[in-house]
Amino acid sequence: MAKKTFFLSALFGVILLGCSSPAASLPEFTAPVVDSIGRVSAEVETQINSELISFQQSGGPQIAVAVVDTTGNATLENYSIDLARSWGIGDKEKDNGVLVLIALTDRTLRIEVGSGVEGELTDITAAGIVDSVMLPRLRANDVDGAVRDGARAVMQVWRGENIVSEQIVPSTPADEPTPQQSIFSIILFFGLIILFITIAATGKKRGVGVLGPFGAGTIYGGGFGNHRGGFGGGFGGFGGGGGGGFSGGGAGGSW
Amino acid sequence: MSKNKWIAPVAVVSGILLLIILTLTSSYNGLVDRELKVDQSVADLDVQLQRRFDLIPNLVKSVEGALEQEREIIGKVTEARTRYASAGSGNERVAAAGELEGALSRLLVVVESYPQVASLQNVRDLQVQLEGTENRVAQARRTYNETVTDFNRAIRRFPRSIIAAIFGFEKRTLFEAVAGADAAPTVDLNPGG
Repeated sequence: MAKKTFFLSALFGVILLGCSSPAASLPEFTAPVVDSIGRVSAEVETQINSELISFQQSGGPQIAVAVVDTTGNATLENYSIDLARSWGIGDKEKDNGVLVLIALTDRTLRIEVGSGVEGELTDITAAGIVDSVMLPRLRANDVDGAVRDGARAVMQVWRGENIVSEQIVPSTPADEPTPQQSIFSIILFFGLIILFITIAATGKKRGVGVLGPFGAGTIYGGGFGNHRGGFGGGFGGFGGGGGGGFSGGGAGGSW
Repeated sequence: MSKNKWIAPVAVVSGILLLIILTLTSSYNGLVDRELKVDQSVADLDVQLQRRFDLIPNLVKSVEGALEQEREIIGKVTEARTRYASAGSGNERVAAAGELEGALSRLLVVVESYPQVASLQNVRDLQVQLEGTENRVAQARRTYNETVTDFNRAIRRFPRSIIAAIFGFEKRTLFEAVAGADAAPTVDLNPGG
C-alpha cells in the first residue's frame, strides 16, 4: 500500500513537472502559420503553410507565422523571442528559425530572426519587410495580405530576390510541391510512424531499448524529407526543428 | 557462516556511501553546468555590447554634419563610448554601459526630431541596426539574469549549498536594469505617417 502511494505521488510529481511549462500563455505550435484568433482565411493559411514547408524542405530556414491578439504584459520584443524559443523554431545547430509575429489588438508586429540567419536576414532587410510589405497591408486591415506577402518576402530575401514593396505579385514559387509529392510525403510520414511503432513494439519484446528517443513523445528530425529538424513533430502533431537560437535579431513596427 | 555475518552490514554501508558519493557528484556537476551557463551568458552579453560599441562611430559620422546645433548630445555619446572602452571590469563597466545607453537613446530621439535627417537612408539603416542591437543587449541581459538567478538559487539550496561552500561557488550579481533599459528604444521610422 505504502509502495503504491509512493509510486502514485511520484507519478503525480512527474506529471506536475511536465505541466509546469513556463510559457503557459503562449499559443501552441500546430502548423507553420498559427492564427490564434481566427483572422487569417483558411485559404491563405493552407497556401502559406505548404509554401513554408516546401521552402524549408528545399534547405531554407524554418519560418513560422503567428497572429495573436496581444502580447499581454510582455513587451513585443520579449514576447516574440519567448515564443520563438518555446516553439523551438529552426535547426538546433543552424539556428535558422524565423518568426513573423503580428499582434492585432496591439497593432504591433515583429520579425524575429534566428542567430544563424542574421547575416542573410539583417535587421535592415527585416525592417524593409516590416515597413514596405507588411505595414501598408496591416494599415489597410488586410491581415491575409500581410501574412501572405510577409512570409513570401522573407523567402524572397532568402533566395536573394529583391522584395517588391507595396505590390507583391502573388507568384507561384518554383519549389511548390505537386499534389503527387504532397500525397507521397503524407504516406511517407504515416508509414514512418507505423514503422517506428512496430520497431518499438517488437524491440520491447526483445528487451531492446528502442523506445529511448521516443520517451518524451517527440521525434526529432521529423517525417518529411531527409533533412535534420524538419516540420516533423511527434505524435503530438507538429514541432519545431529542435530549437534554434535567437539572440534578438530582427525588426519590429507598429501601425 | 561467521564470515557471511559481515556481508550484509558491509553491503549496506558501502551502498549508503555509494549513494552519498553519487549525490555529491551530481550536485557538483549540476553547479558546474549552471556556472558554465552563467559564463556563456556573460560572453553573449559582451558580444552584444561590443556590437553596439562598434556601431556608434558610424551613427555619429552620419548625423554630425547635419546636426551642427546638436553638438552637445553627440559629444556626450562619444564621451560615454570612450569611458566605456576604458572602463575596467565589473561595476564600472556596467555603469559606463548604462551611461552610453542613455546618451545613445537621447541622440536617437534628437535625430527623430529632424525629419530631413531621419529620412536619410543611411541614418534610417543605422537606426534600425541600433534598435536591433539595443534589443539584443536587452535579451542578452535577460538571459544573463535568468541564468544567474538559477545559479544563485542552486547554491543556496540544500544539499548543493554544502557543495557550493566546499568548492567555493560564489553568488553572482544580477544586472540592475538601467531605468528604461529593459525595452529596446522604439524609434518611429514614419514620423507623422
